[in-house]
Amino acid sequence: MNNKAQISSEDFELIENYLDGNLDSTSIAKVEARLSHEEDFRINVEEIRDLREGIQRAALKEKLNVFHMDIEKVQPEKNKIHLMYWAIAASISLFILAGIWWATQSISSQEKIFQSYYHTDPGLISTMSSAGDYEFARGMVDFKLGEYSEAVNRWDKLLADNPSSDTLNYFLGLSYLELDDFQKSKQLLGNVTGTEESYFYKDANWYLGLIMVKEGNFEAAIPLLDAADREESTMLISILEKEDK
Amino acid sequence: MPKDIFNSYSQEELTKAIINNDNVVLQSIYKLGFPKVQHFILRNSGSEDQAKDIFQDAFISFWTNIRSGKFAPENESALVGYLFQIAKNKWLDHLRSSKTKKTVPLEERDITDFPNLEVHDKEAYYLKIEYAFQKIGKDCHELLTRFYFKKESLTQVSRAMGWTAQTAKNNKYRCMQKLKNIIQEGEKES
Repeated sequence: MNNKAQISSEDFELIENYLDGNLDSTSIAKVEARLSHEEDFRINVEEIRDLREGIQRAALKEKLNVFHMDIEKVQPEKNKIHLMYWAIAASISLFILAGIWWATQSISSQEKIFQSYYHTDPGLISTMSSAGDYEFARGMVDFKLGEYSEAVNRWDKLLADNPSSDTLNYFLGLSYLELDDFQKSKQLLGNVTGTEESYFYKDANWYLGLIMVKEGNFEAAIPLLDAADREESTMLISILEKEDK
Repeated sequence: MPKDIFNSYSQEELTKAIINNDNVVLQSIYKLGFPKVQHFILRNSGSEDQAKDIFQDAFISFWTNIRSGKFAPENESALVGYLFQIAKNKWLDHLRSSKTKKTVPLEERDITDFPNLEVHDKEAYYLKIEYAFQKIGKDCHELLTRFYFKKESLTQVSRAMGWTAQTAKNNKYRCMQKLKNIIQEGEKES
């Protein structure tokens, strides 16, 4: 495959149309006559066919890595489970602190409730092990660094290619939440709360519920916080029910 | 991803969706196929990373065979079963070759090195394209992905990239030339 012949833009278009089956019978006959008699032209056709195939393979490999990232989120690694224990312990502490806080405060606004219960998701462990998932992993680094605009820039493009990804919807939703774009955040998190089998289902409900709290829509928040099924859910729901009266 | 997505596709539609690189269908196949392959490889002396690499290699072969008409999926189970069989064979080949010769572990392959392989080997040439595709620059990468992988028309590509249709057409030619040049430069250096 060395010594490839140079190709003009006209021949390139002709070959593209030939390979796509877009030529009429007269043009096909002309191309096939050239294939029989012009060695350079034959090499060009073969080369373009290979390049088209190679591009598709390369793009598919990148896509497979994105698919795999989604699967990895459903299969937490062992050390992630340890982190979960810490998260549960932290949640219990938060629960107690929230109780003390509520006992010592008089009247609280929806913003105060939100601030008490809102903590940024710690993000995922990213490995950057392959080129294909680089953009996602790089976005995760931005997310963890608090560079939410950067994360959004990277992940928005990935989401356009992979709109059903619960991972992207979830973390983009959280990034927009951090950027105070609540409408966008609600829309993205809502995509995840509609899929019960998602690994992020409960967390998405939690954050969507907190947005509703922030907006003062306690009635909408309660079922979401209930579906979030967190340690803090019961306490928070009872607070909202009292506030709502 | 709803598992019953396949129920809404006829055999012909399923094949067409795979040929057209339909994102939802490809992702559904991946999600359905991977756990079984992962389980098999982990039970047979493999690691998580090897399961991923073998499955993705198998997925490429599976996709190639469907596009070339070597395999026509009748339904979801035939499709996933076929994919599993390819992955299983690849893993068994890997185990056999590991026993008979020292090989570079799958996870140590590095695409940042230009593939120094026999140029007449088609698979090696695809690796060179893969390498060049990563070096080609953002705009060309996006243009070529949209046009050749996602099967978008030049009008769709031009809209997405904020170009005129003529610019998109010219850029497609330029990007293909650029891809060729990167490959040829790599061949000279290796």
